[in-house]
Amino acid sequence: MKRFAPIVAFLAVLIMVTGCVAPAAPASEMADGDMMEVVSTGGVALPDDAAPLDKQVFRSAGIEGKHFDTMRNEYEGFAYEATIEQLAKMGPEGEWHPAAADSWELSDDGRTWTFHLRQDAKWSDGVPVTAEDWVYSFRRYLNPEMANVYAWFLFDLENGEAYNKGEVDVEELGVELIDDYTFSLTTKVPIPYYMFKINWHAAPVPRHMVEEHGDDWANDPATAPSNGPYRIAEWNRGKNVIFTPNPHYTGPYPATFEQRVQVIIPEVGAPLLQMYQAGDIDGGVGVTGDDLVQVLADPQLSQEAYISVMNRGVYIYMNQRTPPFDNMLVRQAFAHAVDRTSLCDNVMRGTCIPAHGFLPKDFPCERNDDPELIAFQNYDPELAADLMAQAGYPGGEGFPELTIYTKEGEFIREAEAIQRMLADNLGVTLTPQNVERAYYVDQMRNGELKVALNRWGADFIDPSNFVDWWDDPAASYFTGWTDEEYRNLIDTARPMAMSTERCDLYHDALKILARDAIGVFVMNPVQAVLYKDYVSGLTLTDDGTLGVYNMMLLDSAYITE
Amino acid sequence: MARYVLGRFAGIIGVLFIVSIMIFLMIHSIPGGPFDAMPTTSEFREIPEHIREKLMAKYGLDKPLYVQYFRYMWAALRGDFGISFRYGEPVTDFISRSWPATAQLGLSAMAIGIPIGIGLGILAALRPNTWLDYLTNVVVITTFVTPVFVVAIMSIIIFAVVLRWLPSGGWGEPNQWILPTFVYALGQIGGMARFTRSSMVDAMQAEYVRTARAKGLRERAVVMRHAFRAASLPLITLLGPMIVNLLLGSFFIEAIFRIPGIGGQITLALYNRDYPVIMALILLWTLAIAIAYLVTDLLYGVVDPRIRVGGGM
Repeated sequence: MKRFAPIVAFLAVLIMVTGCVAPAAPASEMADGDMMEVVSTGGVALPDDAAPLDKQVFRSAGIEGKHFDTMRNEYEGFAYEATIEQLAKMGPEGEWHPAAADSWELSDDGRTWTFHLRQDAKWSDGVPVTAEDWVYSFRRYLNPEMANVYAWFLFDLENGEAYNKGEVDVEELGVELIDDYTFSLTTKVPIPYYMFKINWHAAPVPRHMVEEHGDDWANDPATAPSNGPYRIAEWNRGKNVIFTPNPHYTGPYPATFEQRVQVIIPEVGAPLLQMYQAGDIDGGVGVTGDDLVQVLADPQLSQEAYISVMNRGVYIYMNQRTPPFDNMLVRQAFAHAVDRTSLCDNVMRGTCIPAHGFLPKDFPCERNDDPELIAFQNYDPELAADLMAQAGYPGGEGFPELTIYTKEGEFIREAEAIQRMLADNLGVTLTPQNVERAYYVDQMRNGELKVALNRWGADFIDPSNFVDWWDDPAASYFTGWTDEEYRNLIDTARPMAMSTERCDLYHDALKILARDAIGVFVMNPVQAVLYKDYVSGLTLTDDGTLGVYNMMLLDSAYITE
Repeated sequence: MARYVLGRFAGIIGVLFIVSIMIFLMIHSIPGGPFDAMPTTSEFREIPEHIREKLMAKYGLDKPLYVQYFRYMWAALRGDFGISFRYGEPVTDFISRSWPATAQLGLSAMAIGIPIGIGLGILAALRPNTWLDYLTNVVVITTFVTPVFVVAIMSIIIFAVVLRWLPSGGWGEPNQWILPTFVYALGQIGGMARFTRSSMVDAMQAEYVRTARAKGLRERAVVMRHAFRAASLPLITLLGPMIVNLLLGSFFIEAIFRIPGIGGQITLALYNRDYPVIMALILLWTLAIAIAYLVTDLLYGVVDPRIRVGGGM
């Protein structure tokens, strides 16, 4: 869903830079007596091969955010990860580490999360960060007066939606101040993966500044102190945002860099790969498609690429409220008529992997190799033609001519290949058309858009994020599909702790999606994220990949000579 | 003269009103609105209805169109062009902080591109069908037909990636000005040179040029004082809108070189359904074009004594 590539890239790039695991042995232990120990302003002794302090600058690219208000800015593009400290941070293997909270516990009923904050935490202007700041922030996030378009993200807090709709008072909200350094969040139902949701973006706002300056606090670095390892030093509109070490930071991830710079790029058109090659940015550049092919063929770039399958499922969306896609046989025919292997190997030159189910490869509970799942949507042109005939469109006869939409220039080539396969195997005529986002959404809302190539990307690492989508009122509104059995499965699975049983339930749900061809699941894109070879000390997974939502990636990173 | 100019200005104001109504109706009739879906999300996650209503009310979008229009115009007349949905800042602030970069780029590109273009055109016209003419033609046609984004990307690959002489983009340091300015200027040279050449070739064959030569004037005087002066009339026609376009920027140049200007903001604003920004930029553009034509008309009178605007000057 969200525009995910940039976000993954962002996370990768922009997460706080710190040294949770002390980066290395002090230089003094090393043999070379002449070597000066380099200690960052943040207080981290950098390894021997570190460049001098004036070179400890890490530059990445991102679009310009509206302001620095983390509590009303999800997905809007600023490198907050350098400046905000969440309650906890997820490491490369998906484990949680204390950050703003020293510790936390979950109540026996699985609904109340109590956080014990680090007591010496301060804003970068020296004012203490207290539980009141956090409680204030969560309440503000859902305050109806804020008209926060991301408010739904916390609707699963107790009375979250009701408070946001103005139906109950703020005291009814599942956010409770316990003492100066303790507060709790209570959800409507147990949500075992709630740490993902609250730590993904939620960070406190400086209450003292908000109360003094109103929402304007977030427009000026001078009134926007941070609680993380870096503070916002400068915002040069249209050019860059400069982050420098927060002098009052006391937490476990002190700054290794002297500066983090977010180079601002326009919403479209910036040649990121060339910027990277020219040395104007140091890393965090995610490339897919043709750029990926180019990167893999380049001797230098391929050395600097961290390759992974994206947490993103690409599928054919079909509006099932009206003909012809209200007919399951038609949808199934489509599902069996797409040659995913040929698409990924030939058309996309190896930049995607075929999929027959909705969960991306390697996502928790993903069982895309299950033959039963594959059989629902495997490539079988004869079966496809047969299903089409059964649906009343033998050889595509009588099937309406439709437009298959893509948006924002994404998946154009995939759509062209797919319409060709559908034409060859089913005799249907779909005309690919690429449109802008606003038009696309509008056509979807009014039901004019019948078929499109769409995608869903993970917001957090739990199968529910993918599976719940199809039962979301917003989604069923668009697809026109709801199913009792499906809903029972996901409602049963959601509150369970992660286990094989939980995955079994999710897998059953995913099989329903595939069996009834609610979507035609096509592929997961492959991505390379580039970091220059002089960016050392990345916190990687055991097998050397960037990890999924690894919030610690740059915590110990530094620049080498 | 003054009356003529005042009359023209009254006309411009009328045009602005008509354009404002047309644009207002047009942008509101494009399918999709600013708060239909999450601002930067790609999939169809809707903004919850109760939040959407709040936002629509906050920006007055829940009112009937004519009310919205009169509110807008009433505020605009007092210099308030609304708040950008995308940037969250007043449109006037947005334009006044973005425009200088665009203007600087446009003026530098003009300062380089226009003289070179005219110079090449004159040279080619003086030596028609020689190697100089052919070479000019090749240069001109190449720069004319190559899309600016291709030139821009190529220049980045050559000068930033391979040679490493210049940064790939950005704005603020003088070395960041070089690439975009030259790429932008290059785009102007072609049209300018072609136009100058054809006007000059015509002028060089005119009777008055022969007369001037017969009077024994030096060639330089013949070319510059007589031929070029006559040939510059069509150039002035071309220059007016060209200068306006340069001052309002190029989408490709600014996006590719990451220049924080207003070029291309109309496109982005349309894309984001950022109504206040669209309105303000199109009105600004209309005004600039109207003034450019007024100035052009006045210049005709200066350059060509046969033309008199507004009666007795």
